[in-house]
Amino acid sequence: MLSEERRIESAALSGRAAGRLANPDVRDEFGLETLDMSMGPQHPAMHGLLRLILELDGETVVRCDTVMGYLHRSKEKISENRMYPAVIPITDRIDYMNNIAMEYGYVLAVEKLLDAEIPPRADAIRALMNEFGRIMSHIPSIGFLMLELGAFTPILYAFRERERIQNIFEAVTGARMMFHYIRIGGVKADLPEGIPEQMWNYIEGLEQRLQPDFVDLIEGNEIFIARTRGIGKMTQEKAVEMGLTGVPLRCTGAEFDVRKHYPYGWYKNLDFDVITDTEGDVEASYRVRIGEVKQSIRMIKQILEDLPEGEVMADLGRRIRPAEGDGIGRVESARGEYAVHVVSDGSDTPYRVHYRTPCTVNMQLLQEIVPGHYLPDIMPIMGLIDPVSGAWDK
Amino acid sequence: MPQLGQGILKGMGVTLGHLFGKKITRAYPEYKRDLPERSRGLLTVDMDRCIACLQCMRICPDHCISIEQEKRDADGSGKAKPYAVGFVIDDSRCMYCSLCVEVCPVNCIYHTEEFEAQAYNRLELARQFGERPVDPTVDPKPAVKKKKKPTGKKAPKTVERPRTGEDEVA
Repeated sequence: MLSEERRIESAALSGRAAGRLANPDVRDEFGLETLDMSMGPQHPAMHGLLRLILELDGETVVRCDTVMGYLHRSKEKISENRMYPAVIPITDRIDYMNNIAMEYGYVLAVEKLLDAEIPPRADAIRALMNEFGRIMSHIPSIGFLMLELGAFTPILYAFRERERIQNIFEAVTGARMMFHYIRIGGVKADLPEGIPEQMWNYIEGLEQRLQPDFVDLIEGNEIFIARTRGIGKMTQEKAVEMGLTGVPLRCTGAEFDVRKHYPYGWYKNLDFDVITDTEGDVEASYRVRIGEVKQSIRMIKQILEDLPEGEVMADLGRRIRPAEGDGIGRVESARGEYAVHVVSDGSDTPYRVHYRTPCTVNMQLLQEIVPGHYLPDIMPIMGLIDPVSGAWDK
Repeated sequence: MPQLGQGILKGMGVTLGHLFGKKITRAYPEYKRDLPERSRGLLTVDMDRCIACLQCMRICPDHCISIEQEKRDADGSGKAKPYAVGFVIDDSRCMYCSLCVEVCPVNCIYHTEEFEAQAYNRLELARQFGERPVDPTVDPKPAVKKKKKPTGKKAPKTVERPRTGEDEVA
């Protein structure tokens, strides 16, 4: 085990080929060796900063090692030195495509420590914003997948939708990306006047636009099918064994969704389906994402139709100081199961905060399924996992 | 059985339809849209109302607010009260989390609608509000050493890595 770690480390540091060290005598019948290549960390298709050490036999990948850590900002250690409410802006910056779910997980963990009662309106608004956040993350994911395959149009349509949701978020929270909206005990402020109507109009419009702008544009396109069908195929047993969550797990047919199976907040009152697919390849992940956007639209409509009245903030006092103990908050983020473990020693600051981000786990898939594929197939497989650099490095 | 190329043609039809739609982009520096009421821009302070309670300085997670305080009889009541002679907000550190705005008891610190903060060096971004300038590079809240509770396990003073055969080779 030690030698394995040191081998990867020394290869990462000195730039020497990891594959050559593992099999020094790989030669085919013509006496040709395999080629070692480094992909990234500065690569447009790497979703941030990721380095892959590839061993190529012609154009086929023989082995694929991932080197993470280029965007490590020590979020967990910083969280230990800040007061409980001041940790929320940090969690915003973990997964910067789906910030609202990151806040939600931390806040749930602290509320479990405090045994706090949350007003129903605050719970409903949290679920509402969380579902908007999911749409805001899933639609650009589809756009990025297509961009990496060479189609430029879907990313423009995807970002048009994202900008419109960001306008709603700006009116509600005051910021376009780093919201800092979900607070311990509720949400920062109630929805402003006119915003529920604006949300309803937007959702109705999105429902009409989703079919022509995304489904008609992408599904059935011959190039898309040729590049994605059967690529990155994995079995359900493999996905469960590796501990995958989110879309990479559900596209293999396993039905697991934290919102459904371990419901939190307002999700107990909502009626929705867990979208699964049987194929387990890149095309299936696209279908699951489109299906989940439709489910999110359904949930947002249910919440807006039946939005409870009342306060949006529980009275927890000015100073948040939980008793000794620990709390875990689990949420379903756009990329999979996100969990936060907060340990309190009875002081103003947490003793320990751990963020279990889905990207870190889902990224392990690369070294399992990439070998055997062609080099250009790495991009659609990255689109299947859809990781975010800030989330896998923390 | 759909014919080859039909999917691409269908997609082309979608993009063609968008050619005749309304443009959704705007030329930003020439055109600026109205910001919503809650929009969080650069911070500013109304020094006439500030009571130098230092709550914003204490809550700030990025240590970007520094206040120099002294006792002064500013309102002529004959009683010396805390008064902020120096107040600096370092925009190069601020992350617009709005925690200082929420704790202020007299609402004297608030977000403006401006968001274009740029400068040729970092010190230019530190905006002074008081009568006396404050050095923004000095940390207003030095790190307090936190006492960690013992976990019951005693950590060894030195950790020795088990030596393997590879070490001798190297």
